[in-house]
Amino acid sequence: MQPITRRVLLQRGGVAVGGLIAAPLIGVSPAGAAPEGAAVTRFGNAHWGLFTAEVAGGRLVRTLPFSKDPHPNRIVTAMPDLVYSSNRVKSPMIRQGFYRDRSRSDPSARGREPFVRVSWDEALDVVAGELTRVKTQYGNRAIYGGSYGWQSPGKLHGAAQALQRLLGLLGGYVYAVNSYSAPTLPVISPHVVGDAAPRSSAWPSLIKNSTLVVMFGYDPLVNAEILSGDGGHTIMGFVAQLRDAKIPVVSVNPLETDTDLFLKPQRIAIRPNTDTALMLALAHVLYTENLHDRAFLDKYTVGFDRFAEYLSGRADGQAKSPEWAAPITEVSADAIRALARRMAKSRTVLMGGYPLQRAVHGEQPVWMMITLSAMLGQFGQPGGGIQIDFPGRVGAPLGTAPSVPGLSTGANPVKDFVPINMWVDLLLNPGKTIDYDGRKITYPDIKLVYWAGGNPFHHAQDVNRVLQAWQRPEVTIVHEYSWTATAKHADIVLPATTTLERNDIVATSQFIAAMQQAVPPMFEARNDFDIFAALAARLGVGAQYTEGKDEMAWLRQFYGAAAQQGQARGVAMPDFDTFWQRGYLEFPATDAANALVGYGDFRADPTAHPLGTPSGKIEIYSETIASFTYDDCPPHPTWLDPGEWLGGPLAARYPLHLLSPHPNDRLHSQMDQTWLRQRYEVGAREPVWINPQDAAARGITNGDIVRVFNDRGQTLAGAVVTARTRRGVVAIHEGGWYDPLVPGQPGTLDRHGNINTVSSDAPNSKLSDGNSSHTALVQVEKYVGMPPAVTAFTPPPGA
Amino acid sequence: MAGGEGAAASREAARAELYGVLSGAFARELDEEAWAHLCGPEARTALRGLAAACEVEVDAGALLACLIEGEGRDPAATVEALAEDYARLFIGPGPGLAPPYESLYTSAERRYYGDAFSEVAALLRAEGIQVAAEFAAPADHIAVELAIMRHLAQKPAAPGQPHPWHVQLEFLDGHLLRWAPRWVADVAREAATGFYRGAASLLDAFLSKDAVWLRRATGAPPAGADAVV
Repeated sequence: MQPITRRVLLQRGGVAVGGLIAAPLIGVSPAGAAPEGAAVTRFGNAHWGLFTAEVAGGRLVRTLPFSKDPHPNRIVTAMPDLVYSSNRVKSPMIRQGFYRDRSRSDPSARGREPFVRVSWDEALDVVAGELTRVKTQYGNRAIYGGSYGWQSPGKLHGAAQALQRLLGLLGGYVYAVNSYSAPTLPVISPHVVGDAAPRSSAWPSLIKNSTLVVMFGYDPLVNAEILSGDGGHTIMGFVAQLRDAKIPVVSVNPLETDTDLFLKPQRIAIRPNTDTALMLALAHVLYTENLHDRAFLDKYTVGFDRFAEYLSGRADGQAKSPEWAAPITEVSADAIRALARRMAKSRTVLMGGYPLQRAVHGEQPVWMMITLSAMLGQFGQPGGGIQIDFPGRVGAPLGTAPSVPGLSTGANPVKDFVPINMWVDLLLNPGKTIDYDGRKITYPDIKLVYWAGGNPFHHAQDVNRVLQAWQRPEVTIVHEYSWTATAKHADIVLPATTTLERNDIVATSQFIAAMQQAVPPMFEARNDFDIFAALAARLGVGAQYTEGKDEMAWLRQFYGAAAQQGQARGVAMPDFDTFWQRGYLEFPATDAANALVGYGDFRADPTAHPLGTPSGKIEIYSETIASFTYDDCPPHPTWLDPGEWLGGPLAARYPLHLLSPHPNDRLHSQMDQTWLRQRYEVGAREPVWINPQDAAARGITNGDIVRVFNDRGQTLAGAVVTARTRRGVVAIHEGGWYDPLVPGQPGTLDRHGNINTVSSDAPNSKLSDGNSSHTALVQVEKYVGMPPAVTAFTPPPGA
Repeated sequence: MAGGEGAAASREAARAELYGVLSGAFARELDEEAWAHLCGPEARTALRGLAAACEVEVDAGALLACLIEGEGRDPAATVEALAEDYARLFIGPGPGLAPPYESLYTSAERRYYGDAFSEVAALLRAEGIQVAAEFAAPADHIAVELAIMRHLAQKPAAPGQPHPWHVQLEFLDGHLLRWAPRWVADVAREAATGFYRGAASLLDAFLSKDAVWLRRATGAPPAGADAVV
């Protein structure tokens, strides 16, 4: 019997009509091709943890959480929806006008012109041509390659890193520092304690030793869902242990968070953006009632006396007492006093959420939290101190995994950079000079923006300013796997793979895991790395870019480096093929790691273990910051008027303070295009929490479509009337996709609920120039009439 | 069938060919050479002949009118307009205004690689054929499903065996007819060019006519008797 051969389905020749437009669609497969259809399991990793992927019949059927994840989240089960989303970018595409006229085309047409599909060859030629043109005509300082995003989950296929590796080889690029997540921590923390973030104690140590937990703006049950690798979501378990240990918790937050619902703490529903005032008042009580630890302050800190001049009111005539703080924070003086006394009597750990930073003067709450803890004198004591760091991992005991290197971005000959929050200002105001952490930065003139692995239309505040800024460069190039607002506004869009369509490796302190390709690249998608390698080849740096290695060769190299390190440290690792078969290696936390006390060594011997500050101690007063003479960042923790807040004059026009917490079922804007959206949307829009009294005053009931607006912009949202938000405060989770009614037109109505239509991109101070996304006043009104349909996800027709 | 065995044979050949032509119309953008040839009298006559043999000459009118109009016009400008229409209809941004994938129209989740894809992929495997690697799209793309019909239609019967018309009818009923009419309506509504509008409406009519023809060939009752709408 003849073996079945794969035959050409359509043949050239024959009738003239068919012969010409029926080019072969079906090809012959090589002999002995593996039968498809067999079910296989692949090991993988995404930002929601490790998972296994089931593939059968040539498609991804299911993704299930890693069997060892103690607290898996549902987001990881939505990966097939991400890979097969109807929103996938299928082919390289170029905006019509740009295709015809290149840099002479009308940039204001970005976002509203149709696209033309081009072949990969043509797309790469155009991109390479534009990079060369801009470099030749304007120099490398005209290329913005900051390409901010929430990192790709793997060591090789980091999209931004792959971009920067190429741009570095081509002579360099303007880059960005810091993050939207932590806009002030990496700036203020080095000045105060000499670390990029204060060192936390391990959760097991806290649970064993703390007798009071005070949380400021912190929601670990939600925020700790996001991590990469790690194997398991351990933070949830620690929060549960906290509850089981019956350790009292106080939660300072305008919103009742999921963690609050779980722990049932004493809640202090503070007015937004006033945490610094509350902490100052707590400090005032400690100071005036002699509850502060003078010996600790003398031995381990500098500048307390100068700070005390301010705290006491001797310096400015205003004591920062509970009576002073009460009208600012809307927390009663009695409550403040009681809490301070309780803190002094307990072994107290102060936990700060990242959101504290994301308001004007966002370094003040961080600085004040450290100062408050220092005044309690429990810094470096088991159960005391502070915790403020990446929520997915803060306080998680460290494992012994050797570190796995990743793709190096290489050297960047260009020295120009901006704090990431200022990239919009950079595009809008070339030549402008700003202050940053004691330096002056003068913006270069950007002509080419290249973004891979990020969605600037979502992470930047004030999307109408983003629109204006985006129209400034001569060319915008974007890699994406999904038609985000950023992709829709680009000149050139190149389809990228998702993490399931390629091989990679991920490593944390407790796990090293294989990320095994589950399915072939979708449509015409390519790995970012391969796109840049192809560009590199066209631009004469191909060999340096790839170093002659293919994907698996790179992974073997990374793994090999870790194994070598492990051997030197006595940590055994199997050979690569064994590891790859197995899927993961586990490196459990040691007893020492579980017992880690942050700054324990500093406390034990501050001379042998000085901090990395100029004085070697905690700097409550910073001479360095004093030398900057910034009016919006004095040399010690200070209450500064937030400007746009409920206690200011703008509240007369916009009486609601808008907060934008991290969502439960997304990573920022990622996954909004999946079925997870059905879990939270209200009227097909992003929900907005509104207090029952505020709702009643506006005739708004649960489920109504409302318009949220201020002078910066406007968006629709779906009302959720709930007492989980206090009076005067509304909340829209960040990340809802931007869906402009008139694309490209600043001020146009967003139909879907992207909070950045109304947020401000004003930098939070001259010190950090970070984002102040939690500082926004709005008005909310019921939307009258038929709300316009949402098209952000362009649901397939005929549905 | 009218005309006896000769006509039947030419109908069989013509329908296979027409499936191939329609597959090619949607598989990729037309280049200048292809467009110029299509607009020429030789190709138009051939197309009219195919349509007549398949009882859809009237339905091919709009498409043919578009080709007649195209003859003598600058092919470069037309091809650019066609490519733009192809992109916005079938490629993006988003899924495109009329994304030609069965799974998007029939899967509960409204995403690619639904059950329809699995079934079509299984059929390809069973038939010993596969999509060319350069055609980077799943097997339930309209061009692939039409190419499958062409393959089945021109596949000779096994020696001594009757023609397996039912296989074609099963594919038509079980796949193409479940979604193509809705897809065609979307193309008709959204297309900017006469070519894609005309090709889609020709396809719609052809599928209906071919279903009738296949039912007769298999001896199955007419669709109206047992159709589940």
